Amino acid sequence: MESWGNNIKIWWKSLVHPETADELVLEVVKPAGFNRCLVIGIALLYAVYGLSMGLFRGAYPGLIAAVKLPFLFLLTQVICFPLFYVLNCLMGPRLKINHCFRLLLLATSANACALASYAPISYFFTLTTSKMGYHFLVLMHVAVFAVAGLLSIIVIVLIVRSTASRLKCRIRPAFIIAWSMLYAFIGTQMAWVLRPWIGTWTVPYAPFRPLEGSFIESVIKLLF
Amino acid sequence: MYENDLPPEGKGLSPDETQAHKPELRNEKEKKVSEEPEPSPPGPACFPRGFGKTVDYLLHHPEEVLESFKRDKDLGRLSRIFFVISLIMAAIYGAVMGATNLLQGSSMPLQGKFLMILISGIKVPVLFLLTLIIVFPPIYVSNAFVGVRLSFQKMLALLLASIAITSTVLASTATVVFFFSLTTKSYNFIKLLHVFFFICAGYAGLSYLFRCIKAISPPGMRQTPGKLFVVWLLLYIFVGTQLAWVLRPFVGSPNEKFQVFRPRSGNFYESVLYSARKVSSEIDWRD
Repeated sequence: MESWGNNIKIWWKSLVHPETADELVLEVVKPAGFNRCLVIGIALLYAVYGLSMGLFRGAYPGLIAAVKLPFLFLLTQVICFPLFYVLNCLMGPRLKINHCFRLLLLATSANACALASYAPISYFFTLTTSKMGYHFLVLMHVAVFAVAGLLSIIVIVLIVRSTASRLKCRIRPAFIIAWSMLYAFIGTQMAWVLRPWIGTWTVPYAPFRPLEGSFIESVIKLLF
Repeated sequence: MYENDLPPEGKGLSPDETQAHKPELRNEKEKKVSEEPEPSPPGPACFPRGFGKTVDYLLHHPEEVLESFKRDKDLGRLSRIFFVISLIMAAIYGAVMGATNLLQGSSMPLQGKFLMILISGIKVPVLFLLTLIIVFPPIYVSNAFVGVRLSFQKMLALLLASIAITSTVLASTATVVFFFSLTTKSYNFIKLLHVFFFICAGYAGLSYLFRCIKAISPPGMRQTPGKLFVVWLLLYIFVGTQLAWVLRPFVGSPNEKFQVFRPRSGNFYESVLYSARKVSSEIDWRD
């Protein structure tokens, strides 16, 4: 348990002082079992928020959403990883593969922390709106995800910059942009596949919905 | 990428402030820094054994690879390494391409679905290498006439390196393609996704080639003009798309029965436009 407390302390320090996170990413300091601790921590933080999303329809949908939300982010990370690694070599700081993995984990954990900090608000509104509040809740969750995403991007850019300055190379903005576009592209499709998150009252609840279309199609439909 | 000699960017905080945040870590860092040797100028490339390590070396040590080109050292061995990397990486992507029918659960018979994986896995490397063979003479001659003077073997090794980078980038998108094949039903959407990834990977490979040629041309000599690169890019697109069209199907339309090659009809651009129109019309506009 001691190493857990220590790991959490180091993790939090790297998020609050991202300019010193380079040591963690480049494994200058090697806390034991840090990656495992980080993965479990991320899963727990997302689960806390996921529960509040599904709770609108009841306890069972809440549990399902709490299990699904960590998978949304961790699976997205797994799918993005090879391309991210190659991009990092061709236009980024040329990190090694395990350093790259830790950087991505730290990035996801920044997002998890930002999102979980909104969990009290989410619980409050979910438990106090009536059955008619579905559309309001959808908007609220989208706004919370957007704000949490922005917050985490700021931290991630600082972490990447400190890592790059340690390696004495410059970061191109194109690298960060390409990375976030890729992440958004796959993340949205993953979110679409793992629907329903909140669950409308117009259809009976099921943990998953049949695959139809994609998120991109639904966005095109929304725009035109 | 080659800005390693630039001074490091300043950190957000002054050293004193950082010191205050991380007293115990800072000491360790200082110890590490003093242990690090001075960076020496890159020597010629020395590829390690093992496929994964070789690809890693190619990605992580472009300076060393360039140094080998400059010194004309081991060009035959380098070419062979690049050739093998291109073959395997392109085959990985091809296999994922061919697996689309299997993953989307189309009506094609099961045997055809598995054969499609094998055939696409062979076709994509063939596509890359045949394109290289076709475009190599015009690129070599035009460069020899108006650009920097490079030997035949060096030029071939450079082009193979760019193909190796292209296929590595392409193979790294295989997980993304796999995921989208698994979670969408639209054949045309997947087709457009493949076209997009091929464009991105081709761009990455050619920009690598441009950078290499710029870096290895000796100072004071005639340089390869930038306009020539645009011509090569167009040449690659022109030949590559036609060859891809001749070699199709790669993904395999779910409406047609299994076939190794299709009869020649239409052209690539027509087909991409058709798919784009189809994807937008497949969207259910009712609600």
